[in-house]
Amino acid sequence: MITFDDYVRLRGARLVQLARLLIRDRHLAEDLVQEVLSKAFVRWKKISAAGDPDMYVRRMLINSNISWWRRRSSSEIVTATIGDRSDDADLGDRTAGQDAAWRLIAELPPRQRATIVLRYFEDLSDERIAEILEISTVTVRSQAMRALEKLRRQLEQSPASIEGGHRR
Amino acid sequence: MNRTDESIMVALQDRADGGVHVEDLLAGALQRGQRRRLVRRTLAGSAAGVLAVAVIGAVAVFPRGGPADVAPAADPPPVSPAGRPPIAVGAPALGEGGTAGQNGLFHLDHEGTTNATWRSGAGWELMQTSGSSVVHTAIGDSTANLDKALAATGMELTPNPTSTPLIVDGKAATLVWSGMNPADGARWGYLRWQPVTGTWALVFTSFAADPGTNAATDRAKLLALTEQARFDQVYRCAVNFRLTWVPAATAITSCEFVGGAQPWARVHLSTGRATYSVNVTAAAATAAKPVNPNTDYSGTPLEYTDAGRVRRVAGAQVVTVDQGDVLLAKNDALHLAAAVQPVTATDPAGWPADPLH
Repeated sequence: MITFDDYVRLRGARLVQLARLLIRDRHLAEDLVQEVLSKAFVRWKKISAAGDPDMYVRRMLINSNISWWRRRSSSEIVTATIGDRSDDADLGDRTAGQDAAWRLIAELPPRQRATIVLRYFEDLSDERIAEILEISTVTVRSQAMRALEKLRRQLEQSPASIEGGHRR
Repeated sequence: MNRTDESIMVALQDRADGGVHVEDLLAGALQRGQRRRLVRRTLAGSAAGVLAVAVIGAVAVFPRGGPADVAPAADPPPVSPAGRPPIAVGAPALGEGGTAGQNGLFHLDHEGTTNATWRSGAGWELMQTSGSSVVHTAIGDSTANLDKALAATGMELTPNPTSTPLIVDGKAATLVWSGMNPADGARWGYLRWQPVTGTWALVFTSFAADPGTNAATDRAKLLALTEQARFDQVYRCAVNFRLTWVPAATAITSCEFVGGAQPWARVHLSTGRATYSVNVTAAAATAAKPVNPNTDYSGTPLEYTDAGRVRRVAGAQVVTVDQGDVLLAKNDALHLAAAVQPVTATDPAGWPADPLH
């Protein structure tokens, strides 16, 4: 069984990267991962004994993010202030297409975004995604299909025009 | 793989990239986790109940004219012991007319500590020492307010502790002990008593699962810690900033002074609906997470996160506004952060007791 310390050393960086894609706010992402790991620490014996800590931690991360999003969306509309990454100085190095794609992904509803992130960033199968999200594989496919339809439609527009629409 | 798939993968990889300090992440998770391990259920009454009282019953810690009552006199104020808040000249100690949780005063201290945090709310006070062994000393003007002080530590205690009546210094006391967690040997305990009529106190600590430790050693350690608690000195909260603007209906609910080599303060406030806190720390303390402005208020660059945290750089210091579950309107939060005015004095004796005055 892997120890908690070893697990965090092995997977911590990847979990923070995953959180950056789920939560949109890069600073909050690390806090969220730390919070989720602290919860996992308390139950580590059971989690590691089950033999699949990744699934447990990823599920906690996604559920924490979604419950947070629900609380926020009931009181305030999330604006298009998505480009809050700390290294905005690097903006010039990234292409308009990447910016546009990320903005569109970030605007997806949380479940659809989680599905896309798990499929394209974590390279997981639909069965594995279903397990993490605790939904059926049919639902995973329909979530992914809806998200991809939207992304394809929007990405066919000029990246520059999409980006320009959000520029402040 | 088509072009859309490729665009998505590249965009995600680009967004996710960036350094991660894994050892910091691990240290933070362990610290929170160990605290959480103790945390299962709040003492007497649910956390929700305590929170509701704190929010609905937001009471100004500084009644009108309060801080002025203990403002430094014309004579040079006595110098505080190292790492302590300024001495509240003329303020009576407990048993001499002083009451727990009044006018932003601290009536408690703990011998032998150099790094500690004091916090004072309406009817309660809390002192937390840091170091190898964290000790919480709290007082309240009622048992309910003593529980509020313990709740302010953020700990939820494991249920079903054992209670043992004791006599300490000729006074009736209760020793409350969690029992040893069979999984890892962790446990906590506190001693609760009335040091003077009308004031309830407790000294709380957790115990490491070291070899040779047991209920008897825990009890001895707790009693020794209790002997180090002092209630004969009165300090005042000192805040290293002023609030030149706050949202309507704001009242201070508690004031926190963080002692040590570079002291700073945090003030907890409430509008009756939203709760928030303000603190100013040395920029060096936030080096791991530098401020990255993404908006501004009337030209003042600010960093605003979706959780409602607002930060800004003010010279060599960083202003931070943190919010509770109910957020202020974004414009108010930005206005508030822009209106925080750090004080230039480095000696807490020169800091205001009340940032609103």
